[in-house]
Amino acid sequence: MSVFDYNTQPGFDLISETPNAGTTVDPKEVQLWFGPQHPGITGNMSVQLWMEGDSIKRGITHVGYLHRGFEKLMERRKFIQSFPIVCRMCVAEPDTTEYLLASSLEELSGLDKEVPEKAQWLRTLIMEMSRLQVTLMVLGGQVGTMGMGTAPNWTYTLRDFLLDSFEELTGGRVYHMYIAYGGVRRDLTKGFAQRLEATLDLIEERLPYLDDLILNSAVFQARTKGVSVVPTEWADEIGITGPTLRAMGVASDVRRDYPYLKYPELDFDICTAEGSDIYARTKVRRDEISQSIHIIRQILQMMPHEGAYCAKLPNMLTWTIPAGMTYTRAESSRGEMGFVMVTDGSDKIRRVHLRGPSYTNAVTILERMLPGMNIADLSATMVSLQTCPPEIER
Amino acid sequence: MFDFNHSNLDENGNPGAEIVSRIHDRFGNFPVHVQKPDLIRLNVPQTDIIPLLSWLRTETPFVQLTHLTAIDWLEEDEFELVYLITAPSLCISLMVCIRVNREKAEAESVFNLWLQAETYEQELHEMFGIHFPGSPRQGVPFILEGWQDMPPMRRDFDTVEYCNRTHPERPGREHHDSRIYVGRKFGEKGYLK
Amino acid sequence: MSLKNVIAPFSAWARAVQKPFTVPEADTFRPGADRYRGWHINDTKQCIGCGTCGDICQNGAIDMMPVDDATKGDSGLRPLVDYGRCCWCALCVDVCPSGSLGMSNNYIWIDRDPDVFRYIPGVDKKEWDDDSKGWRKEEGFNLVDPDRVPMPMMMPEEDRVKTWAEVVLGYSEKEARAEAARCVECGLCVAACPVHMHIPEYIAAIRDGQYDVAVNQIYDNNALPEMCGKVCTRHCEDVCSIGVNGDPLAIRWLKRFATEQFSDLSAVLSHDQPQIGVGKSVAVIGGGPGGLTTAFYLAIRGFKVTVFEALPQVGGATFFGIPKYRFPLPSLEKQVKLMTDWGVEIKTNHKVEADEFKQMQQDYDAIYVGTGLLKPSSLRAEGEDLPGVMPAIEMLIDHHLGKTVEVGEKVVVVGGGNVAIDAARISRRLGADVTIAYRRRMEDMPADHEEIEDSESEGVHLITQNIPLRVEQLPEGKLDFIWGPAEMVSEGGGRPRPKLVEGVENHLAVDKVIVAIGQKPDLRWLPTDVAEKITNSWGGITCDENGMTAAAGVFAGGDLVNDTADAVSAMADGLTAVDGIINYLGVGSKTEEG
Repeated sequence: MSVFDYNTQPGFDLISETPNAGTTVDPKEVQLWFGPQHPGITGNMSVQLWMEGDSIKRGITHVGYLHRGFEKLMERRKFIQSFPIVCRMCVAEPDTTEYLLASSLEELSGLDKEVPEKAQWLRTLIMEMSRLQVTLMVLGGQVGTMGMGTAPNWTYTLRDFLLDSFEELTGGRVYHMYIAYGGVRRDLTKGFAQRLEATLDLIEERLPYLDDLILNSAVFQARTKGVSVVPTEWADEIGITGPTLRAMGVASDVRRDYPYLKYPELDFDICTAEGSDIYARTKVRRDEISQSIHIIRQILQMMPHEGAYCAKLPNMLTWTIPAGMTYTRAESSRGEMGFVMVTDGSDKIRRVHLRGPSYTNAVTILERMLPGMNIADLSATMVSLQTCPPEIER
Repeated sequence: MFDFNHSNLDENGNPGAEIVSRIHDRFGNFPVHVQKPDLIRLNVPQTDIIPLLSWLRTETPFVQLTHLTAIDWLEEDEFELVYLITAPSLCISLMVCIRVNREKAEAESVFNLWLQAETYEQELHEMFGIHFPGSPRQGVPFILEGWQDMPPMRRDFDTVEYCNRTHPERPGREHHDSRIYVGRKFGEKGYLK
Repeated sequence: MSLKNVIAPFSAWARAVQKPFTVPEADTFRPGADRYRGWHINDTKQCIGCGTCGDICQNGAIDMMPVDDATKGDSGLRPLVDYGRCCWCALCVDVCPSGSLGMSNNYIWIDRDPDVFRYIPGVDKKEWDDDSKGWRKEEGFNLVDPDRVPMPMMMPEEDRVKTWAEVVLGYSEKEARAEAARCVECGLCVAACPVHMHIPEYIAAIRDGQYDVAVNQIYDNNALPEMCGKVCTRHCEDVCSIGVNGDPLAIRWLKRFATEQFSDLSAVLSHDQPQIGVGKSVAVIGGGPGGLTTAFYLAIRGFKVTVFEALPQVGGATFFGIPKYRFPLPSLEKQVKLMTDWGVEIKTNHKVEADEFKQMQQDYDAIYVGTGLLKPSSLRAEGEDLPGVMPAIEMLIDHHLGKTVEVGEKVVVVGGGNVAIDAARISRRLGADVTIAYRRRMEDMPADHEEIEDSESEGVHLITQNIPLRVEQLPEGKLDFIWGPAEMVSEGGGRPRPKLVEGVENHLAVDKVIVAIGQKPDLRWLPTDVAEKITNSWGGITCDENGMTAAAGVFAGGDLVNDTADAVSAMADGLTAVDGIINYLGVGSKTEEG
């Protein structure tokens, strides 16, 4: 089945949101706004549904509740001033966008050659910690959408212990603003590695309990196996990346395919699963938690203890970067994130555009999966696709 | 479909050389810039974009549309459209760039090649006012709702003016720039101008 | 679906009796981490009000508010943080050039009134003001560049003493633009500069490569910028905000770079001054920096200005007081040429005497007196009249007028100011072994510290805490310079004073003793009635805030009036006199505001 088999919205005018002339309206059809305020939805977006009973006939994704014009703001700000902005492009996972901003501008300015070894390790560390905490959150969120409260409480508690580590390292729990041009903003604190190790041990110790509640649960399996299957043909047609793609059995990962930071020196598996359903995507995330823990432990062991954590920076208030254009990518917890970065020789960004996996996941894929779906599975589907509205509309 | 693999390296070890020479053979000598080993930028005429992308999509490993974006070159009165096409099997991306006239901003849709282009084209239409005839969601509000002004990502959209108009400063706010303040305090003067 | 899977989720029930996986966190107060980014704190004593925090804040959350009087090196402004806008990114802390701004790890503050969440940290007292924990600036992450682009020197130090060529090479274009990019445009330098040059503006123009703009900004209130660019005492660099925790901007070298870009200044400079002075004439007595400044800015307004200079060359102390390896003659001539091109008449070798002055008072609408200090202070030690004991100022004038100066093989220079250093370095180039004897400590020396270092690297010896006792004649024309060591004593909180250690006598056999312990005014040429009216207790001249003396129409400035003894202060007096003369003659109404 190819996506091209679908007619986008048969008999329906998207602009006026009314059926085309000559289309008969089913009298049993009910229009329903799913979100933006709905506990099961992934942030501030909504899906406008046309329902028949509890079955969805069609639907449209609406974003725009969280549009802050970041890309425009960054065009009007000095490079250093863009840095508190980017982390807000994905609330839960700020470090990926921070890294993308820093690395793309470093590449265009030539500063990339001066980023110290230790900074590379610290960047890798925080990126992986970030992936770990988001994956924990989503894992809990996944079962939360099905009405189970216990597992989310457990994973959120574990995530909060990780946030303590973020707070200690970066001075902030959620918006870390840690990766800056030329390196990172602060060195590890004394005893950080031991405390982080303890948290990792705790997570690892509790994973089997979480497995019993999630992947091993008969209820969860019944609700997710074979549900919301993303057809493998869509991979190229839509450009799917990340866990959604890996749940199709494709071992694709930016960390391996386009090596960056210290990932080439680290040992890790790319977690895949078969089935491309919600269960497969959840399993990929579950396995990635173990892999992230494995990676962080290696980083803590291999990281140099001495040395600078940031290159010598020019005056950030007058820094100019030669004209250029590049695309930088990194593996976020959702898949490939990237920045198209354009500079024009001035002290400001000319154009920056975020490429995020949610963009395709929440709109192109989700809308095409809606027809025929039971409304009870919608939240679970959205979380399994890990749609992140602030990343879609920026 | 011909075989792209990492054995097709040029003497610099650049696996992108193969695809570049194929494109040159087939479509003419477009300017090429190797930004990094896995990212090659091509500047092509607007008329060649659909044949080139169709050929990439159907006959080469460059099957994924990773990104589609636009840059407003206000000074040159042009928009630049950037198609980021990726070969997952080779781990190389092409940045195919075309320039379109800013006054009559129109480009052909690639919706028939990649489905998610509908959202990208919808956003570019909304944010830049670039029209993609035949793309299914042209004119459908995506991020903005009830927007009356010019497409906001255009360079000539004045964000500060817009903010001051829609979100005025709190009354009584004062700020003294140290540079101006010091000059005034110490009686800085000019004697030429 | 196996039975095991059906039972699996019930394992969670075990938590009902065992220790729960979750923690009751919300009930207890939990302090932020050691480097948590909480509420702002500011050490207002350390803060210099440069406003860099406000410049980097992308939210516009920081407004600079006046809390104190502006002084040199402190704008008197302090940051006010609006927490309705703040995003706690702490860039303001990381950029703070003085390191005064920080963030407490306190993050809880509840109030019903939203307006209280705007306050001036450190001024509006808060309970977390003294918190030791929280986000602070760290050495390893600096958003401003503390390291100056080094100034390239013409030649190795050991070769320098063999030549009179200029020592400093000057920045290349790349170096100048890199150095200019370090500026944060706070404007504190403007306060410290006696003429209040538009320093941030010309530095920004240099950074952007617009050198013509820079030169126009520079000439806007400085008529001798190339001189200033080479030898200014640069009060600006003392207060540079980057200099608090790093090297200050090389403001002087940047000015030098800009002015050296153009050999023909009149091609890039322009002015739009109304010709208010047509028909009025002004005499300037003394062609030093103050007099030339007055002459230049009056001439471009249409005044007929004549400069009377006793020496064969104008420039005053900048001509005869500054060695040519620091300020070459062509550099001075280039600037004087612009003045004559723009209408200043210069009469050299013209010493004004009392009668002529009386006539001038009739012939000219206003007179500016800027004859400087020429009478050397004496050594005030026995033997000061011996041949071979000579004042530095006379030696410098003779040297610069091309006369032969004999210093012999061994010289002691008494004094610690720029004149002493210049005399020492010139003697060094004349082939002598030179020792500088100074009463106080090295850090007390009024000379430019770069100059002191340069002279040391050129092989000049330095003896500090050295009080001359007497000079005695030795055979073969040699002199015995006898001095006693001094200890520094603090009395009444002032700066420490040297006190002679009794009973110790050191001897130094030299050919010459060059005395450079200051000069005094010499106003014997003034008509007695005028002199009585305008001179003050120390022999100088007292002026009002318009630069006018007690004699109507007679203005004065420079070393005669102020005791800073530097060219740029004299130029500031010159500018004051420009405004004063315009006001006095009643021709200017709206011309002063620049």
